[in-house]
Amino acid sequence: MGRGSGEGKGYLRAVEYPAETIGNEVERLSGQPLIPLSNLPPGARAVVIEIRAGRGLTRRLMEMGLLPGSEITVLSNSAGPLLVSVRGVTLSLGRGIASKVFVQLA
Amino acid sequence: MRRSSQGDEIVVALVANPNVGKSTLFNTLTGETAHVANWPGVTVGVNQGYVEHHGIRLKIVDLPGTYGLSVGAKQVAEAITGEFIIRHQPDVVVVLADATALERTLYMAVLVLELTGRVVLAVNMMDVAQKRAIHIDLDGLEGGLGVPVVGISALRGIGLGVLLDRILDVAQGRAGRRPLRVDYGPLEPYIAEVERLIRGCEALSGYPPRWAAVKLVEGDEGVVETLRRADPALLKRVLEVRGRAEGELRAAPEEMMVQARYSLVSKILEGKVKVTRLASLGLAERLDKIALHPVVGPFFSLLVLFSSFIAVFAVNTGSPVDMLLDYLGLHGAAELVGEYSLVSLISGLFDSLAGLIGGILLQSDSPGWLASLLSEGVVSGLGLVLSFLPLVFTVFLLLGILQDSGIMSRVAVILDRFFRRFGVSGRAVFPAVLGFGCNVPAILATRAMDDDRERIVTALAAPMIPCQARLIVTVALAASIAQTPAGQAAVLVGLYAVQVALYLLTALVMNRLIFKTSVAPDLLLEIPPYHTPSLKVAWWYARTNSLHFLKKAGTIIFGANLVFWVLLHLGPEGFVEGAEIPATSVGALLGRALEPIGTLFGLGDWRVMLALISGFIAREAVLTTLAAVTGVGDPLQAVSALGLTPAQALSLAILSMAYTPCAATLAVIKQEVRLVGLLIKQLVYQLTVAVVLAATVYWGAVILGMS
Repeated sequence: MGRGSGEGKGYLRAVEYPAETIGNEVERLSGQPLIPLSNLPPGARAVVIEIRAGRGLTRRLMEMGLLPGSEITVLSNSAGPLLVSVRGVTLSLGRGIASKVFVQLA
Repeated sequence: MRRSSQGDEIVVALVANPNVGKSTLFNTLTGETAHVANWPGVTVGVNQGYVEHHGIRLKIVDLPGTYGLSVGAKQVAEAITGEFIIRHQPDVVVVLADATALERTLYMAVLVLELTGRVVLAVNMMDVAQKRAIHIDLDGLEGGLGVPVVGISALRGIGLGVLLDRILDVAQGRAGRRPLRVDYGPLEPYIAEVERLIRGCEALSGYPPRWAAVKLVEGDEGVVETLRRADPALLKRVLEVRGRAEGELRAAPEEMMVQARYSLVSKILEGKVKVTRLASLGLAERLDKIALHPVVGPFFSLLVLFSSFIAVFAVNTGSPVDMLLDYLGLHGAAELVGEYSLVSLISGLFDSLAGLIGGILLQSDSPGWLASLLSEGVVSGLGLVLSFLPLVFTVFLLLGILQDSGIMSRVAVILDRFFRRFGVSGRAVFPAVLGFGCNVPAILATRAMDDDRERIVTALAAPMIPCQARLIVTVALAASIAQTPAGQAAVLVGLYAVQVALYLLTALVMNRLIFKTSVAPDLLLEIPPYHTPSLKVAWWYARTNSLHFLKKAGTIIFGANLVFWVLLHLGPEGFVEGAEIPATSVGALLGRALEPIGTLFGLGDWRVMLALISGFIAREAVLTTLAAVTGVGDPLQAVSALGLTPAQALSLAILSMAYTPCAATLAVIKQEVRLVGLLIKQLVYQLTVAVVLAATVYWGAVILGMS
């Protein structure tokens, strides 16, 4: 699953950091476990808490509207890429990417 | 006017996320004046066109759809957009947003506003929003953003007059604002520190200082790279600040920045968008239930793709409709369909033109070689190039429609699972389907892939898909392989199956050989809602791509045809000609020299080898050359005149299917891949595969007693 974790260029390594960050706190419901987006069933609604991917991919996902705090709805999740509705748009995410996006059920 | 205005012209740049309708707006505004233009410092040609409003000429520049804004040498959409806005300082930047996904598409507006305040926000798809009962307070939005906001429908041409009015307002200084200063909260001290550090830095002097500092703290690759090249020591100090921000705030600065921009968007949008009732998506939703169903979806996708392309190829080449009619016993109708297809009309036209010119020249005193060169070398070469054109054009027209309607991205999603096994994503389906018609548009279609590895691998594998020309050759050979129609059909289907398998395997092999990996890139794409495709956009898309093909590949096909004329008509004794291809021509000598290789797969006959060489120009030339060397007019009879055994015919059929891509295909591969080394590897690889396959099948057949 950790594919792409080495994506960050040497000079700018993404560091692991807690979701509660200064300046852009994402409300985290206590007691709700963090689960990868790829594990959600179709129809599930959730809030993105954290993206554990390389810098380039994280930024691209965020620019496409998928960022900590975003509310998402899983439209479909079978064997292929997932379909996710976020901010009024439908995104298709490969399973590898979806497994790097961590969410809490809403 | 100041800035980049040329004379009285006002330069307007169009910026938007993909799928927001930017091409539609561009085409509706500029119409027939649209063309590809090169701007200094912008690495790819961008579309531009003109529109006149209140007697003022506006030059509209259509920048590629992008989700971000950057600079730097990398040829990506976000860099092109950023470079253009910074270097060429357009008088007005029109940011196009989507009324049905306002929050996401306004993010782009914030990115642009950080650079320049000379912005007009056009909110597109107001008609769709209205249907879905989404109400947008445009005036409130204008107040929040500080720049003109106009609601439009690019597809229906609504609101464009007002949009042009507001563009003029900004261009003439009646509206607009200073660049937007996004509050990055706890990051501000670090941004200020970087701004102080880079003050006076020559390499960054072209960029607004605050913007450059934000981008550096954000870790933008383009700006970081620019500074690295100019002043690595300074970059180190800048990155030290960034590192400190990351450590002290315990967060990645770029994430905080995207967050900050999105919170600004939410703040601006607060109370400006109201949905009065829950929209029922109806048809689109029901369609997606089928198109994206895990089991039914793939079949549905293939059905849509193949029926569309069969229609296109029937118009162009007649097949497979003519073959079907033939099979049903309607031979007359079949012939008619074949004869009146675009390709045969064009080649027929050029054949008679070539004959006419040859005849005129022969009657005059000019030497025989000149008549032959002009008619066979030049005119028929032009005909060859032009006969590809309708196919290329209509395929792109269809592709444009499929893309614009939202069908394409769904097909890519649903077939992704299957293609991943071969190290490519679902996007590899488009080149494969197009390839059955002609490999040229198939390779051009790989341009839509944004993963470089996937794009190259698919372009190199695409020639394995058997095109229509190869089908024609194989059909002619089938009669020599099997006696019964059923047997011939089985041979055809078998050969097709082998080629499709080779396409997938080649993708896998190229991934392993060139990139040492077989992990498919993960799909990440936006699925646009279904909408009525704009014919204007599709038409323009097809026109641009066809012209591009004419310029680049056309010259190579034409040149190859000339070279082949030389091969057939020049020999040690000078110019030679005759009803048959002269045995003393360079081509014949070449064919003889290749006989030993031919014996490897049972085809040690110079006539066959020469035919295979000519198949490199265009695959159907295998048949015309065979007709010429045997002196028999009809290709089918020419094949039987060769007296091939079934094993030999099978070997030749496999070779004509699989050996080197034709000149046109190679030309576009070179145009798209741009690495000659890879091109040579591809050639060697495909030749080897074809020869090994043909030899194995030939000797296998001989052992089984098929000779």
